Amino acid sequence: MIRIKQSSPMHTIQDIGRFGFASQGVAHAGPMDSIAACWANWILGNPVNRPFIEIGGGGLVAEFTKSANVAIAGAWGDFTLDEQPLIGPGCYPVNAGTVLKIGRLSSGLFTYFAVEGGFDMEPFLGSVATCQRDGLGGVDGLGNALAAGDELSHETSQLKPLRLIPRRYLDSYKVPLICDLIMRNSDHFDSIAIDRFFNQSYTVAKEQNRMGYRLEGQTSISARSARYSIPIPLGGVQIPPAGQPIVLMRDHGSLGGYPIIGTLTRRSLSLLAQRSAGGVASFRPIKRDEATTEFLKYQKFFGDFR
Amino acid sequence: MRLDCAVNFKERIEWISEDTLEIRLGDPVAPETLSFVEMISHWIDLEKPEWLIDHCYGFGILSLVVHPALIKESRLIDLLTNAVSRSLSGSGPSDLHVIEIPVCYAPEFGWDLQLISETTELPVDQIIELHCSRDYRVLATGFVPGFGYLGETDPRIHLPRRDTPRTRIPRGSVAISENQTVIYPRETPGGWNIIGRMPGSIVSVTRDSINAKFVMGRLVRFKSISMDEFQAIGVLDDPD
Repeated sequence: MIRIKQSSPMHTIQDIGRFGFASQGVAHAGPMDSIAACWANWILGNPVNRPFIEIGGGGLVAEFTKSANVAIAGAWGDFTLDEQPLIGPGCYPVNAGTVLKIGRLSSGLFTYFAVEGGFDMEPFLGSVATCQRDGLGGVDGLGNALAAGDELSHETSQLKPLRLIPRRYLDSYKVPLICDLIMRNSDHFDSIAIDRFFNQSYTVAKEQNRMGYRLEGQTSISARSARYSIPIPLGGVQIPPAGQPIVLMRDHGSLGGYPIIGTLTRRSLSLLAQRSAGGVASFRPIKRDEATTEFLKYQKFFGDFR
Repeated sequence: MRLDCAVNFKERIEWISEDTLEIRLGDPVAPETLSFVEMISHWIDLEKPEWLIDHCYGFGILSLVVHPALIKESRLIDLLTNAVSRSLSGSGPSDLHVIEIPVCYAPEFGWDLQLISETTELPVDQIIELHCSRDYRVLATGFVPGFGYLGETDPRIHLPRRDTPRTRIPRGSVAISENQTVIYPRETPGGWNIIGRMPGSIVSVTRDSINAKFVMGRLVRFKSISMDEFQAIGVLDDPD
């Protein structure tokens, strides 16, 4: 097993998410950057839905009590195995007694830590994904984050040689991001609002969490308010009356009452999730067919992708 | 029950992301729309189609998360059309049992009552009376586990959501917005106008199921209680 020596409230157990209970208001949860999370399981040869740890911000120390093949993928920083620096996202063989240190993440907000076979955990409503908002999943099943002292069991593995994720598949999370947006037919926005939305750049605000990211632009945009709450999609971009967008992330509620201008592609959503406050993003429209083609490539490659 | 048998699902479908589509089912508060939702939900529960990942309904719109590689839109339209036309004949009666929810409208809990009173030019007592004066139907469930949207409230207390949502609303808070009223089952962010708080809880979740008091179509009534009564019930309440 692994023993958590140091942790933070942004470190949570996740899997691909909790599906099938949205009509009762249960959030899907799952990884903020699903591309990086899928890589972590993929490089180990795991099915994509095996439980892993999402490390937000960094600052995790864990000790292995038995040997394991370990994958780290996503944002990078000062990471070591027994004080030996890791050289990049990929899969590393680890002996019993080794200590893994994930320092502060400097290139993005989230990194993913998986072991061969996955962490052995009991699902709640079909998933181990931690959702603090719903009080579901995680080590205790109650939606709590990982904490120092937690112990996670996993199978013993034959050690495999070190293997890195090919560089061409790795994204930079530091550059200004252009998000692909699938437009929604809506009578809440006039052409002036839509022009303004696509023709300005936004910065990620401090109010960002697993439910949503607030963005701030120079000019606010106006939307005719909605009378009813309707189902809201992952990656949906809400425009509340204040006129600054909120992008819906993995722990978002199933219904919402603010008008939605469109939905980010899953790839753009993963990349946006990695941006911390001050990160720069803008939007461009994309056809749904093009977006689906890209999405299906990920699904085919990883076995599943959501 | 009268329903438009020639439902043209093609015109009602819009893909809103790579794997999510919306079906517009009609007027959010019309009984016909609720029947549609019941038919399709019933069909989903029975068939459990492998291409369907999740579904969710809210105010006239049914949202489906699907495996886009496993289902073509034309096939989906056929399936939905069949599901609706087959169930047109046999639709059971709705649950007529009314749930009574005690609510304490004291200023400590009813954060926005004063503001609502100023906006509507109604005394606080009358706002409370209007809120308790009718039976409401659960028009939709969702947002968080246990959350139900009840309608319709008296037109005299209709008012919009707050411009910027609050980041924390306490568990049990009773709120209104537009023509609806809700209870927050646990602490979450939210943009509704808070008028009171109920003691105890309205939902319990086990390892593999959710047990919520608010079920689509059910009738609900509110009863005003004092702070003393609120505290007495709160102590007695079984967390489950």
